[in-house]
Amino acid sequence: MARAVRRAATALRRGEGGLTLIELMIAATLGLVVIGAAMTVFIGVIRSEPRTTSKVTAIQQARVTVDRITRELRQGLDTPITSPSELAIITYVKAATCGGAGASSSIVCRVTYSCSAGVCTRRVSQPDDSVSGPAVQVASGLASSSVFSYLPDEEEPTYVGVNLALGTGGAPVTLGDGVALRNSDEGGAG
Amino acid sequence: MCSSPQNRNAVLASACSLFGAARRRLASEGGFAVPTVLLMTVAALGMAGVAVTTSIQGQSGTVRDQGGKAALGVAESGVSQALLHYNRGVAPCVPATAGGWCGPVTGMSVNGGAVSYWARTLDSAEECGVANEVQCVEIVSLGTVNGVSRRVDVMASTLPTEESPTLGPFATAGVLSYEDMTLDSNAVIHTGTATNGNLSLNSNAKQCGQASVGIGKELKTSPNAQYHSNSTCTAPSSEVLQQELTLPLVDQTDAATNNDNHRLFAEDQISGNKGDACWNGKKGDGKATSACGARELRIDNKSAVTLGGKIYSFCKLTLRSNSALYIESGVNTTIYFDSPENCLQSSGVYQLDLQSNSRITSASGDPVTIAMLFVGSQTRQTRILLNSNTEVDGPCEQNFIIYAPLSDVTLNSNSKFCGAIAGKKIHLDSNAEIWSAKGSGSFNVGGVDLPDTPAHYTPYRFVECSPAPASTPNDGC
Repeated sequence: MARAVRRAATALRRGEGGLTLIELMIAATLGLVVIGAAMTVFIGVIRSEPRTTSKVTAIQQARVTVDRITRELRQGLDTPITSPSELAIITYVKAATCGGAGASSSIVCRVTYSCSAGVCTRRVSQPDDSVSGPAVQVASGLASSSVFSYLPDEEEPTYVGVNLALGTGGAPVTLGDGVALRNSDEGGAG
Repeated sequence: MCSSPQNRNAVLASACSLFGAARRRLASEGGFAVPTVLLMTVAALGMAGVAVTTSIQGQSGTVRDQGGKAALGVAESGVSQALLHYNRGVAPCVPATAGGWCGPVTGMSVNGGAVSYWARTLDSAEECGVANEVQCVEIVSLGTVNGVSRRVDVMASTLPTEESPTLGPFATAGVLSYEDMTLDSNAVIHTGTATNGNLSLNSNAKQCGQASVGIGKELKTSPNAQYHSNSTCTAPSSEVLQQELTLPLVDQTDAATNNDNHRLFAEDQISGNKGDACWNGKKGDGKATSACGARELRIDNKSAVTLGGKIYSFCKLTLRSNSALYIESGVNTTIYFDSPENCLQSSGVYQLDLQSNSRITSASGDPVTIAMLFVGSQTRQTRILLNSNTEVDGPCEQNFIIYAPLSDVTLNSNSKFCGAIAGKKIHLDSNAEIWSAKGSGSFNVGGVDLPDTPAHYTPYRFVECSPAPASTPNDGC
């Protein structure tokens, strides 16, 4: 009986063949390489996260801004100010009063977009620009203040292009769109 | 080598032992090899997952933008479809109450999207928001593509009255056909023509006057046929317009019951043999006959009838053998031809049938105006035939009109018509001729109520709404 137990223990010990020094060194080296690579990536991600988040937020904000500008242009009646960095649109705005709180129905107001020093602001006023709401920043981190382009010309455009170039370092990310003015006399509705 | 007993010296034994151990280790897949590879695989998958997730998040905005634009396009297509109905003179739907909203109408699918729209007529100028006497409509359209919805609200108005004088259907051309128009064997038209189909000129036929064909249609000219831009056939041309032609249907209002039919043959007397004219089942001499049914006027054998009333309602008019229908001088006469359903006529009936030197003209030779307006039918064919030297207004100084947007018109064998003519299909054959008193160009008719061409609506207010449909279609717009 005792011999049988001893034999079994010996067999068990042989089954735990374990690691040779070479195996251990190779495994450790490989593990270090993998962990090192993962750590490098992780540290890179952690370091760039604020910048990435900021850029994503700026892109998202710019996307919303482009969407809003194109919507207001699409239902625009007139464009009293047209320059590459500034655009004023007489358009329908869902508000009770121009520059006031939002509402479910639309009224005609004047919306002015001004872009300079890397930011764009939006201001809503009466159609004659008499009473104005505050200028609200709607885009930031712009590489260029030249945002608006006009067809056939700046005087009486029927089509307005909007291009927001984001990012001050490296290649900027550009969000672009353009619409025909549905309600303008020149562009024709519908 | 290791299995050979003679090679089992000390050095080789040691090497063989190591080799065997390594081989067994590999065979058993024990140790750290598998966990290490697994760890590397998991790490690689993790990094790839992060990259894919970031990419998907980055593109989700683009996908949403594309969906929004597609849905907006689909919504605008709904507005276009509704306006197309209005511009053809037919509302896209009927509201439960006057001035109320009707719909939703499911529009034709565009680019795989779904579209439905609501419409209403705006009554007052105040509600319309546009000055001047115009008609306004409001259309709200909802477009959905891949679960993304956009809703738009469009108001459209007709042109201000002073900019849009009421023009009859013959404003630009004297001969109109809703479908194809064909000229064979020396037939000639001396006025402008317009058709929704093709215009075919065969065998020496001539079109003298500006021609317009349907969208995507063409002027087909055989080698001996001619096309001229003027009514006197002296200016060869190849310039053909392409445009849609609208022929509003005839609305006879109460003409079937409130008319001057009672004048036949009392005030509107017969000249010649009274037995050769019959109306409403009776001859001019009072005898009953089966030669003409209810509201049918038939004139035969050199007899003539002179009409002096303003409104008549006929089911059929037949002239044969040198007979004539005269219009009293100074009278503007309109003859409505009722629908074949109301007249109990079968499909293919000739409601106007002129043969063998018969004619319709002025009694005194002075200019008169007569309009023959055919109600027709969408389901039963009605026909008009001018054959064998027949004439409608021979001297061609008059305003004679045949307006039959649902009837097929044939002029044959030296027949001659002077005035304006509109039909579903028009076919001229064997020296038939159509002249217009004013030549090519506009043909406005005084004293006759022709169906107005439908008002043309142009959008003047476009607003995007919140996507979700509301209780009232234009809520949130």
